[in-house]
Amino acid sequence: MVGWAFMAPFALLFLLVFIVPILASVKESFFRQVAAIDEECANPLYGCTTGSADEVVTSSFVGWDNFLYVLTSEMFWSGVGRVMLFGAVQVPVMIIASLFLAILIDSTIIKRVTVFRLGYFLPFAIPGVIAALVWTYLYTPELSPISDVLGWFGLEVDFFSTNLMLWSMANITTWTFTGYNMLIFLAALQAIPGELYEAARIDGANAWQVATRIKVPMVRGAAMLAVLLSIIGTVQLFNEPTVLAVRNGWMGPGYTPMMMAYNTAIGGQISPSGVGPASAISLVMAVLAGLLALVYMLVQRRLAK
Amino acid sequence: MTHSVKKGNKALVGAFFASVLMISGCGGTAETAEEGTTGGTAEDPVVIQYLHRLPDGEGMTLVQDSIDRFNDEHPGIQVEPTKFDGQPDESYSKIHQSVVAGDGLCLAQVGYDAIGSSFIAGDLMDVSEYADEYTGNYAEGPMTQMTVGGAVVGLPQDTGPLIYMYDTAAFDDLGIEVPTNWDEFYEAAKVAREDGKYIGTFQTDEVKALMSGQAAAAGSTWFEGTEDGWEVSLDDEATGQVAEVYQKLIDEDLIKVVGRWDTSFTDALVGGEIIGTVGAGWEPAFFLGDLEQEETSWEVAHLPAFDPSNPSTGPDGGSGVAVVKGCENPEEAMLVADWYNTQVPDLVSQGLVVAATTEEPQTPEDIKKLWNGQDVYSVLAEANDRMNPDFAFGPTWPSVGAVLNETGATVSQGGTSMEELFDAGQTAAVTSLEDAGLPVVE
Repeated sequence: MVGWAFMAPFALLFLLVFIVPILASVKESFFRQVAAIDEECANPLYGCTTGSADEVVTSSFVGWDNFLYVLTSEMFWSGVGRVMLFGAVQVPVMIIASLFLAILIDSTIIKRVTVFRLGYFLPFAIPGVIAALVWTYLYTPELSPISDVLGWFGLEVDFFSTNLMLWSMANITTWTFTGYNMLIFLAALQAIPGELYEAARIDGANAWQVATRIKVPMVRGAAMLAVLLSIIGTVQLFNEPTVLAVRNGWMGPGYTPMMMAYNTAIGGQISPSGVGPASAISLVMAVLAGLLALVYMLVQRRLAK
Repeated sequence: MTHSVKKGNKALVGAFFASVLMISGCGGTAETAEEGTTGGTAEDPVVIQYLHRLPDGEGMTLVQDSIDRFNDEHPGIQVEPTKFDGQPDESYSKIHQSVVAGDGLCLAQVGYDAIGSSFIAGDLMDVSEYADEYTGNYAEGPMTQMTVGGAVVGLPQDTGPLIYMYDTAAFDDLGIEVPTNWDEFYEAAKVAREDGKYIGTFQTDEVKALMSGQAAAAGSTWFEGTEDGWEVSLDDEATGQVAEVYQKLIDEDLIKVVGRWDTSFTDALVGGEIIGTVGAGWEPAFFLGDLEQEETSWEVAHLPAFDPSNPSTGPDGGSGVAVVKGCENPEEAMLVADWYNTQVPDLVSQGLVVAATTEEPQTPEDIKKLWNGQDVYSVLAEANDRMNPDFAFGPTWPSVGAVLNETGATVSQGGTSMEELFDAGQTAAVTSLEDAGLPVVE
C-alpha cells in the first residue's frame, strides 16, 4: 500500500503526460480532418453544413489510410534519408569527440578540471532554438567571422547550400551535445576502481595503454547509453532545421520527419493536413526509432561476444 | 572578403532573428470582451482585441496612435491593438490558437492568400449581416478577396499589385526605355546584359507570391469556384505564357536568379548590377533603403503587359482585417475595421497601398524625393485598378504555396524549369483540395 502511494506521483504523471497522449495520437492516426459537407449544401466550395452545426472541419475515420500515406510519401522518406545520413556521420564523430574530452579531463594532464568540465558542458545549457539562431548568424556570409577567416585563405564557403546544410546542422548539434555526452563518459570513468590503474602501473603500462586498454573498454556501457540517446535525438531533429528553413526556403516544410509532422499538424503547409496524418507520421517515426535502437543493441551485443 | 555589414542587412537579419524568436513565443492577453449588443458605455466599454502585423516603423503613424483617436471618438468601444512580430504563417497559427482557447480575439490581419484556408480551419466569422454599409468604401477586387463562398469575413486593408521598379539614369545610359510588354523587356534586357546589368530578377524565395501575381496579370484565375467544385488551372494557357517568358529570360541569363531577402540581392542592387525588377506595391516604401540616399533616379512603372491591348497586373500580398470566430461583438468589430481601414494617410504612412477608395492617397514627401520626385502612390493606385479581379486563392493555398516555394527555390538555368514548377503546383492544388474533402472539377 505504502509502496503504491510512493509510486503514485510518478505513475499519475507518467499516465497523464506519456501514456494518455500516446493513446490519443494512436486514435487520431485513424482519422483525417476534412471539410464538413452535408447533402443539402448548395455550394460546398469551402465546405458547409446547412444544419445548426458550426463546425467547418470534421474528423472522418479513414482506417489505415494515414499510415499508407506516410509509408508512400516521398517527402517522408526523403526526410528519413536525411536524418539517417546525418546520424551515421554526426553520432560517431560526436561520441568519439566526447570520449576523447572525457579521457582528457579524467587524466592527470589537466589542471583546473572544473573550468574545462563546465566549459565543455556549457553549450548544452543553451536552448536549442537559441543555439540554432546563434549559428545561423555565424553562417551568414556577410556577418560571419568564420567566413572572414576562411576568406583569408581564399575560401568562400556557403554554409546554407543544399549540399552543406545537413553538415552545418550536424555542427550545431555536435557543438551542443558533445559536452553532455562527455559528462556521461566522465561519470563512467570516475566509477572505474582505482585498483585497476594500480595493477596496470605495476604491470608497467604507460598512460596511453591505460587509456586504451582500461578506460575505453570500461566505459562501453556508457557509450551504449550515449549512442542510444543520440540516435533518438537524431530522429527527433527539429529545432535546427526549423530555424534554418526560415532563411532557406528550399528546405521546405518537411526537411526532417519531425518538421513534417509539425507542419502537417498546424499551418496547412503540407497536405493532407491535420492532427490525423501528423499523428501517423509521429507513430511511424517512433517505430523506426525503436527499430534503430534495437538494431544498434543487437549489433553491440554481437560485437561484445 | 571584407567584413562589410550594411545597415539594411543588419536590419534584415535582425528582423529574421526577431521573427524566429516568435516561434517559441506565445503571449497575448486573455481578456474577454464585456457583454453588450450595440456598443458599451464609457464606464463599461466593449473591448475589441486587434492583432496586426503592420510595420509601425520610424516616422509612421503608429497603429496605437490611430487607435487612440478612435477610442477617444468612441467612448463605448475600446480597441486594444497588439503587434505580431513573426511571419504571417505564424500569426495564423496564433489566431487559430486564440480561437481554440476562446480568448476573445476579435480582429486580425489576414493575408488574402490565407482567407480561404483560415476560413476552412474554422477561424473566421461570417459577418455578412454587418457588411453592407461598409462594402462601398473599398475597391471591388480586394472586397472580393475578403469574401468566401458568399460570406463576408472582414474588410480589406491593403493590396500588393505587381509593379516594375527601375533606375531611370541607368536606363538612359544604356539608351533603353522602360518596357511596357514582355517583348520589349526581352530586347531591353539583352542590351543591359551587354553592359553586365540586369533589368529583372527571378526571386527564388518569393516564388509563390510573385508567380501567382504574374499568372493573374497574364489573365489566369488558378482557382475558380464553380457549381460543381473548384476548377484548378495552374496549367492553363495564360500561366503557360508566364512560364515561357520567364524560362526564356532565365535560359539566356537575361534576369538575375537570386533570393529577394538574400544579402546578395542587396549587394547587386547597391552595386548597380540590378537596375530594375518586378516587385510588389508595398515594396517602394523600403526598397531603396539599402542605397542609403535621400534622392535617387529610380521610378515606379506598370508591370510589363502580357497582352498589350489589355495591360493587367496581379496581387502579391495584400491583406484585410478579418473578424475572428468567437468574437463577442462582431458588429462593433466591423465598425472598428472600417474606421481604421479608411484612415488613408495613416495607412499610407505604414507603406501600404490602401484598399479603401474613400480618399486619394498622397505620396509622402520623403518617398517622393527618394523616387525621383515621382508621385509613386498615384501609379500604385492606377496599378490597383488594373488588377485582375477574378484571381482567387483556393482554401488549400498554404500547401500549394509551400510546394511552389520549395520547387521555385531550385529554379535556375539548367535546373528546375518553369513548366515543372507550375506542374508541381497544379498537382499539389488538386490533391490538396481532394485531401481536404472539397469538390474538384477534373
